[in-house]
Parts: sequence; C-alpha cells; structure tokens
Amino acid sequence: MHHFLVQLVWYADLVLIGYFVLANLGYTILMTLSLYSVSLHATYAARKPYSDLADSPVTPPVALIIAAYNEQDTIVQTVLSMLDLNYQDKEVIVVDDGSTDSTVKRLIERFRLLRMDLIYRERLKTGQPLACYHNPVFPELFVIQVEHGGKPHALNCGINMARSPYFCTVDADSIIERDALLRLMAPVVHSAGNVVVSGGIVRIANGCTLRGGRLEGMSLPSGWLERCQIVEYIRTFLFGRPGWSMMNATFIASGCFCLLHRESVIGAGGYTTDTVTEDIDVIAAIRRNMVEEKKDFQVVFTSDPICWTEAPRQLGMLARQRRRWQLGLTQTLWKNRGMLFNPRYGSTGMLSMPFHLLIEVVGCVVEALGTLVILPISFIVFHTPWWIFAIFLLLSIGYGTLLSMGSVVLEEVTLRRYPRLKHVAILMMYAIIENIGYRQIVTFFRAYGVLQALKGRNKQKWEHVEHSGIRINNAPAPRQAMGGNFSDSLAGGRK
Amino acid sequence: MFRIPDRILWIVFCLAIAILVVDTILVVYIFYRRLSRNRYFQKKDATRRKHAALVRSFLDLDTSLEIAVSTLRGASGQPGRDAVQDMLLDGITPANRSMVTEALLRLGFVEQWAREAFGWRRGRQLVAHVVEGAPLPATPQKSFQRIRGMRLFCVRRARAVSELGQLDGEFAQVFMEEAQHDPSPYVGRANVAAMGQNREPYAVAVLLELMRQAVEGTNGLPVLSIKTALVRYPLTELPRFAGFLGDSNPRFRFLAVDTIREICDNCRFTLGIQDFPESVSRWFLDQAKQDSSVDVRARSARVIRHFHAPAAIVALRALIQDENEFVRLHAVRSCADPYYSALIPDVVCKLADTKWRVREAAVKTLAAFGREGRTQLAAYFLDTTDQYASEQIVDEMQRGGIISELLPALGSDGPDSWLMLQVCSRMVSMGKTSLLTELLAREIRMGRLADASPEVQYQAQETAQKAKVQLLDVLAASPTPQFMITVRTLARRKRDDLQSKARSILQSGIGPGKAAPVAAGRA
Repeated sequence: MHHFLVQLVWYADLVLIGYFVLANLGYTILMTLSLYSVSLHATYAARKPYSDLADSPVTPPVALIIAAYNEQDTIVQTVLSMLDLNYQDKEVIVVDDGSTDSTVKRLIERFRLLRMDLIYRERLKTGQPLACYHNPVFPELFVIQVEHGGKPHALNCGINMARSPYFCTVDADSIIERDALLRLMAPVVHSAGNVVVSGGIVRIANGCTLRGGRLEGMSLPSGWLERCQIVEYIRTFLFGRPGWSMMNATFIASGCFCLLHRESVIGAGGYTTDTVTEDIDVIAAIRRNMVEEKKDFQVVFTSDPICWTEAPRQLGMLARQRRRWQLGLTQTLWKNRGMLFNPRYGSTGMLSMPFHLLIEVVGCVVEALGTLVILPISFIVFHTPWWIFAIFLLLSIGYGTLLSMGSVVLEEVTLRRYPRLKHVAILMMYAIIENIGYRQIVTFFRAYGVLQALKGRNKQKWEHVEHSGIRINNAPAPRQAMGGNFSDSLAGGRK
Repeated sequence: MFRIPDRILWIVFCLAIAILVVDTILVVYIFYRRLSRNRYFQKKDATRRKHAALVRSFLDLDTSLEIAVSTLRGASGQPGRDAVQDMLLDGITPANRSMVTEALLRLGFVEQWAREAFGWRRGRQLVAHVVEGAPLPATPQKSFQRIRGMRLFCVRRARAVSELGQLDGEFAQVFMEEAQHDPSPYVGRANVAAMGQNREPYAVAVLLELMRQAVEGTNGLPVLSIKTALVRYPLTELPRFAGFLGDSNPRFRFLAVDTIREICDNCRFTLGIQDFPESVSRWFLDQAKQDSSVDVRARSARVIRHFHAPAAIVALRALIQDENEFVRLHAVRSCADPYYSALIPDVVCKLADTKWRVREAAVKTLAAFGREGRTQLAAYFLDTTDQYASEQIVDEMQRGGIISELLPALGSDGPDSWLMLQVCSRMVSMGKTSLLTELLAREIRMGRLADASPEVQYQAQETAQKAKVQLLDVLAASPTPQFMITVRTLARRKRDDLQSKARSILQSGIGPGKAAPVAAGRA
C-alpha cells in the first residue's frame, strides 16, 4: 500500500513538473512574440501615425455601447469621457439595464435628456426598450432603459439602437484615453484584411485622479491587492494578448474595451447568456460563424489604446470576479469544443484554444491541487528534503517574477504611463510580491470557477465593483461646455 | 521516500539562479532606462529652448537658411538632433517646405533617412541624384525579399520613408518612387500616407494605380489607407482622376468615385459645375447614372449634388427613381441643399418608400430644407396613412429637435400654430407622447434670452405658457401615466393659466386607462 502511494505521488509530481514546464514554455513563447510585437508597434507609433485618421472621412463611424447597471457614481464621468474622445463620427449609447439606483436620473440631469419615442429596430431579439432619452444638443448621446435582463441583453439592445458599422463595448466604470478609439480603429483602416474585432489594453485606474471624464493624475493605489492586480493586468495585456494577435489566434478580447464589426456580431447571433462571460463567447461565435460562412476575417489586438477601469479592492470581490472569468472561459471552451484541435479554425483551433484549455483551465486546477494536496503529501508524509522544495519554489517564483518584471520593463519602454520613478520601483517590488501569495490565491479562485463550470452553474449576474479607488476632482475640466439649453426653445425658439 | 536524481536538481538549481540573475538585470535595466530617458529629455528640452526662437523665425521665413543651418549644426548628440528634427518637421508648411527641405538636407537628416530607408549605397545614390542631378542607376534587385518584408526589419525603414515623404515635392518624389519597390507592406503604407501628406500632384496617378492593385489584391496594401491619402488632395487635382473613372473593375470605379465625393465634401466653399473639369462632370452626368455598379451610381449622386446646375437636377431626379434602394437613399440624401428645392416633391414621394433607410433619408433631407421642407414634412405627416412613414417622420422630428423648435408656435397666433397643433394631435394618436409630456414638464429657462429686454423675455414666457396650455389639451386626449404625473405636478405650482388647466384636467376625472402605449416605436 505504501509503495502504491509513493508511486502515485511520484506520478502526480511528474504531472506537476510537466505542467510547470509546458505552461512556462507557452508563456515564454508568448512573451517573446509579445515583446517583438509591442516594441515594434511602439517604435512605429512613436511619430503621430494616427494623425491622418483623426480627421479623415474614411475612418468609419463607431457606436460606443455602455451597458450600465447601478452605476450612478461613475456613469456621468464615463459618458463625459466618451463624448470627449478624439473621434469625429461616433455615437454614445448608454443602455441602462433596469438600474435600481439613480443611474438614468443622473444622466438626464447632467445632459438635460428628453424622453423620446424613437424607432428601435430589433435586429437581435431583445424586446422593446422601456424608454429612450436624447438631447439634440448632444446629438451623439442616446440613453435607453431596458428591463433588467443582464449584460448580454443590454449590449444587444445597444447594438439594435446603433447605426454605425462598428461598435465598441465599454464598461460603465471605465475611462478611455482620448486617442484610444482612434488607435483601436487604426487596424481596421490600415489592414488589408477584414478586421472584425479589435481589442485594446485595460489598465487599473485605482489610485488615479479623474476630472471631467479624464484621468489627470496617474498614481498607484495604496492597497497591496490593487497593486498586485496592476502588475497582473500589465502582464496579461502586454505579455500575452499581443503574442496571440501575432498568430491571428486572439481568443479573448476584454469586453471592457473592444471594437467589433456590427454585422459580424449580428451574424453570429449577438451576445448570448449561454456563458457568464459574454465577451469571450462572442469572439468564439464570430470566429465560428465567419469560418462557416467562408469569409476572410481578422481578430486583432493593439497594444496602445488604453482603457482604465476600477479593480476590486476587497479579496471577496476579487474572488467573485476571477471565479466568474474562469467559469466563463471554461463554459466558452466547452460550448465551442468543436473548434478545439480543429485545423479548420486555424491557429485559434490548433493553438490558442488548446492553450487556454490546458494551461488556463486545467492548469489552474493542477496548480491548486499541487499546492494544496500533492506538495504537502510529498514533503510532509514522504519526508522529501526541504531544500528540494526550496529549489523548485525558487525556480517557480523566479520565473513568475521574470514574466512580471518583463512586462513592467515593456510598460516602461513603450507606454510609460507612470511618470514617477517611485511608481516604477513599487511596480517592480510587486512584480516579486505578486508571485508569493497573490498568485496562489487567485489560482484557488480560478480553480473554484472551473469546479463550478463542471457542476453546470450558469447564472448571469452583473459584477459590481465598489467605486472608491479613483479620486474624483469635481472641478470642471477646461475644455467642457454644456452647450445650449434645450428647453430654451419653449421660451421663444432658437436663434 | 523517493529520490530526484541529483543531476536534475542541479539543473533546476542553475536555472533558478539564472532566472534570478535575469530578474536582477531587468531591475537594473528599468532604473537605467528611466534615468537615461530623463537625461535624454532634459537635453532635448534644453536644445528646444535654445533654438525655438530661431527655428520659429526660420519657419516663418524671417531667418536665412545659412544662419539657421549654421546655428542648428551646434545641436549635437542624439537628443539635440532629435529636437531639431522634430521642430523642423512639426513646423513644415507648404510655404516653407522648400526651405525646410534644404535645411534638413544640409544638416544631414535627408541622407540619414535615405540610408535607413534604402540602404547605405542606394541611399547615397538617391541623395546624389536629387542634389546634384547625378544619373540614377535602376533599382537593384535585393536578395532576401521575404525577410526584408518582415515587420521586424521594416519598422525603421517605414519611419524613414515617412520622414522623407515630408520633403519638398521633387525631393520626395524620388524617394517615394523608390519606396514603392520595398517588399514590406508597412513601408508601402508609410509611403502611401506620406504621399497623402505631401499632396504632390504626380502622386495621384500613383496612388490610384496602387488602389487598383490593392482592389485586385496584388500589392497587399490596405485600400482604406490609400483612400485616406487620396482624399487629402484638393479639388484641383480631379482631372487626374478622369482616366480612371472608366476602369473595368466596378469596385475600383466605386472607390475612385467615392474618393472624389470625399474630396468635394471636404471643400469649405460651395462648389459649382465650373469647379469640376469637364471630362469629370460629363462622366458623372452622362455615364455614372447608367453605370452597371449600384455602388458607383449611389456614390455618383453625392458628387453630382456639388454641381449645382440644372443638369444635376435632372440627373438626381433620375437617380431618386433608381430601382436600387441604396442608389435612391444616396440620391435623396444628396438633395439636402437649398439649390435642389425643385426636387422637394420627388423627395416627398420617397417618404413612402418601401425601404426604411430611404424614408429616413427623405425625412432628414426635407428637414434640411428649412421652413419649406418642414412644412411639407408636417403636411405629409398629417395626410399619410402609411404607419411606417409616420413613425419615421416622428423619429426624425424628435431626434433633430424639430418638435422642440416648433413647439412655441403652438402659443403664437401665426399660421404655424394650427399646423403644430395637428402634428401634436397626430403624435398623441400614435402614442408618441413621451417628448411632448417631457417638454410640458420642463421649466422654462431663459438662458438664450438672458440678455434680451424685459419685454422680449416676458413675451417669450407668455408664448411658452400658452403653448404649454395648448399642449395640455392635446395630451389630455390620450393620457398616459407619465402625463398624469406631470399634470399633478403642474396642478401644485403657483396659480396661473397652466395650473388652472392642469387642475381642470384632474377634476374632469380622465386617467391613463385610455393611455396609448408609451413604448418606443416599430420599424
């Protein structure tokens, strides 16, 4: 019996080592590709490559769709940020998913919106909205109120309301940099292929100061959890996705800030409630649909359009968020299992999806089991010497730190969003700290998400982040003017 | 207990140490990079400060080339040279382009970019050709074309080509032509963008030819990038398009026509047929409306509208009747110009088109005709029994602010009062009451009339008050819950005509039982 147990633990250890080698090999390849892609892009983009797009009539119109649920604290700032974007032909569509707070009221007051009975064409099945609000003084802005039905439903309503050929999904608590939309659209204009999805970078705004819908003071938050997340986001967005994009195998584009071709999304059936992460699911659906219809297409990721969002400050909130992401990823992979290892879907089916399945989904379970069960048994029950454990731990943490540190280097070389040396030093410190404790905690949350997927859980709920991480300066921004007053017309007509 | 071979442990240990060393190197590198960048920008800023006045004066053509060049030569080191380069390139205008080009040449920037873009030997040949008129050997066939086309090796070339593209016409032309032989699409794209910025006449034909190749998929360049470059050209370059309009490829024809459309739309003054070369205007008036391609016909309408000539009215009328909805759509949109008021009846007919896009365009076009168009729109709205057309008109009247603009007419004694009353009644009967109720509830603000005399302000208040009383009457015909809330609010305000009217409505006992649905309209 003892011999059998020893053999079992030995094989489990081999699996763990195999996973470690495979995962880190994958990450190293991605890191190399990303390093190449991001630094070249930064070099090329250094000298105003977007100036010709800003005022060009050829640049396609975009609808920014903001699905909101109980976002009264941030919605006005978000809409101001959208209206202020350097993009000449845009619509801003706020879809209120039956909020129980003052989300709509605040928008009505700030933008003096008027309730109107506007035509709503139901290209995607959603039902009619409860109310539409608009003010011709802000011709770009539309607010629609729909019955509470979840984020996918709200996004579909926004797609139905949009008139532009492209739309960009933006979270209601996100702030987009002024040129970000233009940068996101650049691959559509500059690519010889048919770009149907263009994803950008999401960064954490905790600790920054917001004024008139724009970030004016870049800083770091004081909490360790938020700081760890900042390093993690930099690593994910600079050291993972550009690599996949180079192989035309982008499988995940954050719905927080993503540009999509409207007809392609409608053709793929829009956003569905089959999974809890509609943003991952829609990319897979588009890919499947385009391949089935034998259409040429590209899904790209660009490393300089930046969207700032607020990250969870409490561990519980982080747990919910990561569990949901992992659950959604697992559900999407299961739903689209026909694409896995299917050469018809090119590098996505042969590389990206298997990687996400083996490393991101199965991997976190293996890692959690290894940390919780196998390693303790190996080293406590079977008395493996502590120094062996220490060597492997050193390698693991050292390599994790290398990836995180590399991404901080990339951030420093390309985007340089943190102006003070102190901030960079803190980020470097957290590139180490993040690997001791934080990564393991997140792995458990993710493993729990996978278990929930196995149990068949699928409940779409709005994820809510408590908004207190961004400082808001309420003094009006210099460039903003409220425009005329619509009700003036009742007092004697317009001039 | 099981054993891990020592050899493996040793490898793992070495790996761990190596990784920790790399980590340390990265930490040192980040600090080094941050500090070196700080030093770089300090030096660059210092050079900027030192030479800003001189460069500004040189760019304004107040300082001679010799003085500028001899002073700017003093800017040494990479930060200094970068600062000078940025200042000169950022301030380049058509007026000073020739002088700036000469300065860049004498300061050695042109040769540096030429070397980066085309290689050491070829770069020197090209510079010698443009400066001294030395004979230029044919472009050599370079080996490793596939590798040269890779992104890793072309970013520097692409940037250099972009800079060269900003030089004066004859200089730039040589480099632009040379850059066309580059195997990389990134360099090609930079070249195309530079041509657009430079706007040298010779490049129109080159860009159109590149566009044709892009449409056929033979050069790997993005069509939209080429189009973006072409639309930067002025109207005076249109004769160069004439030869391409009859091309056999319908997609290319469409793109050429659409580019002309964008160029016309970009003009800041009203165009006339005399502004177009005859070959181009004749093609649009005679050929375009019969073109086999729907897209060409559709976009042609948007060019023809800029002709402002009787022949254009005839052509647009024909296109409004086209069998294809997109042609009709663009033709109707094209009529949104006071010159084409003769086409108002034709546009009114399109309010009942079977396709909603055409209906929508017709409503917008009529609204753009000012008072005459809006009256026609309102009259049609009152007469029609077509539900879809009515909904489209109401939608546009709300979105465009027409309702809010016309609403004060309800309180006036003018001829518009009756018309507005009928429009509001019709809207109420359609269940489109949200905006009207909302306007009723809004407080009258005097923002726009804040500087007007007290009498004018009083009159405006009175008119608005009367309009609201009328509106109450209209809305009471089909009360909604939203309306009843508003009425209750109005009944609680200080005593005036509006309050009395609201009270009488409440006393009459009407309620939202008869309410029309508040929900948004149908397609």
